[in-house]
Parts: sequence; structure tokens; C-alpha cells
Amino acid sequence: MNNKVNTSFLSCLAGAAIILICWEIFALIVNLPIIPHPVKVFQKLYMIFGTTISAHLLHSLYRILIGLSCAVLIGVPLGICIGYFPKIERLFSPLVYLLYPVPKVALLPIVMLLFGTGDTSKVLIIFAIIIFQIVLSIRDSIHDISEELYYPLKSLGASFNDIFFDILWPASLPRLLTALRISTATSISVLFFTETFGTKYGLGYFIMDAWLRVNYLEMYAGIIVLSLLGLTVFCIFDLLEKTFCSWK
Amino acid sequence: MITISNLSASYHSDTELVPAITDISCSIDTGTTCAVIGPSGSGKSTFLRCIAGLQKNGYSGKITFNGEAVNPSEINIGFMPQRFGLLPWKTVKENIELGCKIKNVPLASRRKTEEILVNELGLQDKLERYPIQLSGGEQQRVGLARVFLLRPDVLLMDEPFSALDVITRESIQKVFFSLWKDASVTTVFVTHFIEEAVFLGQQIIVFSKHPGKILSTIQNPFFGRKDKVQSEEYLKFVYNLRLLLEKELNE
Repeated sequence: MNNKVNTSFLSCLAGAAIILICWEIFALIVNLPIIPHPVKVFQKLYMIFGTTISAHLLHSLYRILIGLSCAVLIGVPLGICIGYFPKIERLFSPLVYLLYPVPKVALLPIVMLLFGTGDTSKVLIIFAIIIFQIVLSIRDSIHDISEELYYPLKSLGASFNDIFFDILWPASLPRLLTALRISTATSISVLFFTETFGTKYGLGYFIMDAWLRVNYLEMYAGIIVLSLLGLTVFCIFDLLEKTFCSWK
Repeated sequence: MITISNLSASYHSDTELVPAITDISCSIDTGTTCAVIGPSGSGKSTFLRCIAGLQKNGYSGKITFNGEAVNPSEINIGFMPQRFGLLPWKTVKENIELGCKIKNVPLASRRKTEEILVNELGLQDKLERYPIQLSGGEQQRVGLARVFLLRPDVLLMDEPFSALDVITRESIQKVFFSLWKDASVTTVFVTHFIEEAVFLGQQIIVFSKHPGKILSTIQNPFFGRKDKVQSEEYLKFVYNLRLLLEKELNE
């Protein structure tokens, strides 16, 4: 187990080293302020992290966590109901298929008009992006459960509670984590976009503001923090998968 | 005693209701085993699902256990599907104890039985493993431990040993027979193998081809008699069963 952790940590470090080397070579070739040297960016990041970026990071993190939590709390039961009860599926599936392809970012002006330019509209957009992927993934994972797995429980008169906790929830957990991993990456990109409107806090605002001030070192520092935020979320999902889906 | 009267069941195809079994009537004495054999698609699995109360729609007729309508929440029905029905996300121990958990049977009262079963089935060092880490034979043993730990009133098995290779199958059949002798649970099982039906079924019901009807109900004198497999009577008995099935298939 320790060897596995060490290997994956070393692979991660090797990946980061390759990116940094490529970046440094590119900066040397281009030799323009728009592509600063990575060392300078990291120095800047170290200087401003505690004073400036951390506040922006916390705001972004808060919006992602709230959006993600709401999507899970509503999406998981909805996905399970759609997957398990054919009548509910007949009612909701067309609705999901109709709404899922709508580009949620295009709804931002409407959401802002309805809910203001504060956190609510940003959280709602993240929620709208994640929930469809969760609902569809959970529904599909329920469909994939072999009928045979239900028989030993149903023949004993198992309640829906038993079916839910012994079959539906554990069977859908791996797909849920995959859906979260994919949709979180999308939601971070969208978060960047939404934070460029009506707010003075958030990594999106920080990066755009630094760009407008032609402060490329701060802009890159913001981009690095945003990608580290994504990396952290991915690592958390990986850890959850290893802990709760070790049976795979 | 399980009594089945005029049981018919059908399933939905894309456009219509297709009969799976028609007008099945039979009875299985308490504490005996009954093997169901017949051509593929003759509705044997549907028949089992009806007894287990798993066929919610599309069936008519009456199924009673000791005179009362079968109700899964009132009696213990152990059901073992073809692929053993183990939950992949539960460890061997959790799978074994699942039936008791569903039926709210205090596990403390079954600890001794569980220990004996686990030892008899050779699962002592596999309790913390997941089904994916077990061979087919080991998974089958876990399935058996699960149903026998619950001490069901009725045990239903749908081609329980068909996924195993010949050697493992014969070994598991013997294990099953030994466990069954101790528990004497009323058992109905579906099988494709005539020899299996003859070894493990006190009564053998032969189904016709689709839609399934009872062709013949036979009291089996060779139940549990592995010592007789070379005898002329045994071979004749098996041959006659094979002939019956072949005739049905060729008709």
C-alpha cells in the first residue's frame, strides 16, 4: 500500500516537473512578459498567497462546494428514483434529455437577472452543470445492476430501505464519483467565467483583474491556484473511490 | 408443503404478452427436494420466480406454503440465482450474513452455525475478501453459506451449479447434499443436468418446451445415491429421462 502511494506521488511529481521544464523552455524561447519564467511566478505566488489569493480561493471553493453538495443531494435520489422506478423514468427522462444539452453558461444572464450577481447565481450555474451528469450516471448505474442481485433480497421481503442501502447506493457510488470528477472539471472552467461578472472575489475575478492590470505574474499565480484547486478536488475523489469502492 | 395449483405466467415481449408456463400444478413435501428439468426457454426460472414471489405481474394460479399464500415477508425464502447473487461491494462475511440482516435475525444467535458453515465450506481465510477475489467455486460456497445460515423455510436455486466446471460442480453438489441433510429444508432447484437432478432431487419434475407444462413428475429412487451411478438401474433411469427430454425437443 505504502509503495503504491509513493509510486503515485512520484509519478505526480514527475508530471509536474515535465510541465515546468516545458514551460521554462517555452519562456526562454518566447522571451516575452506574457510567458514569465515559472520560478518568478512561484515566487510571486508565495508572496501574495496569504495576503490576497487565499481569500479569492476560499470564495471559489465555497461556490464549488455548495454547488457540488446541492447537486449530489438532489441528483443522487433523483437518479436512483429515475433508474429504479420505470414510471418516474418515463416522466423525467425526456425532461432530462431536453435540458441536459442546453449550454448552462448561456443561461447566466437570465440567472443573474433572477437571482442577482451574488453567489446564488454562480452556485446555481455550477449546480445546473453538475446535476445532469449525476442524474444520468446514477440512472445508468441502476440500469446496469443485474436483476439477479435483487432476487436474494426481494425473496426475503426486503424493504426499499434494504434495497437502497444494500444495492442501489453502493452500486451507483463508482459512477457517481466518476461523474463528479468529470463535472467538477467543467464546473471549475465555468466558475472562472461566472466570477468575471458582478463580484470582487473569486479566482476568476483575480485572474481577469491581474490580466487587465497587465500583471502577468499575478495572473499566472491565479491560474496555478485554480489548477491546484482542481487537482485537490480530483485527489479527494480518488481517495473516496479507493476508500469506498475498494471492492472493484 | 408447497402446493402449486393451475399456475400460469407470462412475460412482456416488445409487443405482446408471451406465455412462459401454463397450468402448472404440483406439490413439494416439506423437507424434501424437487429438481426441475426441461428444455431451454421452458419457463423453469419463471416457475421459481413465481414461488419466490418475485413475479409481480402476469401470472395466475395459487401458490401456498403449508396452506398459506406465499408471502416473502412472512416466511424465509432463500433464493440462489445462477450467478450466486453475491453483492460485489460486500465482503464474504457481509454476504453470508445478509439474509439474517434483512430478516432481522440476531447474528449472535447464529454465530455457532456461521462458524460451522464457514469451516465446512472452507471459507475461514476468505471472510474479508470481496466476491471478485474468489473463484466461481468459492463464490458458490459463499452463496450456500448465506442461504443455510438463514435456515430458510424454502430454498430455491436457479441452475445453482451450472457456472462451475465439472469437477468443482460435483464437489459443490456433495457439499450441498451434506448441508441439506443437516437442515432438511424444502428445496426446489432448476437444472440442465440430468445427473444433477437425479443426485439431488427426491422428486423430478420434467417441463415441456415453451410454453412450459409439466410433462412428467417422477419420484427418484437414486436421490443422494452416488454409489449407484454405475448400476444398470441408475443408467436406465437416467437414459429414460434423457429420452423423454430428447423426444420433447424433437417434437
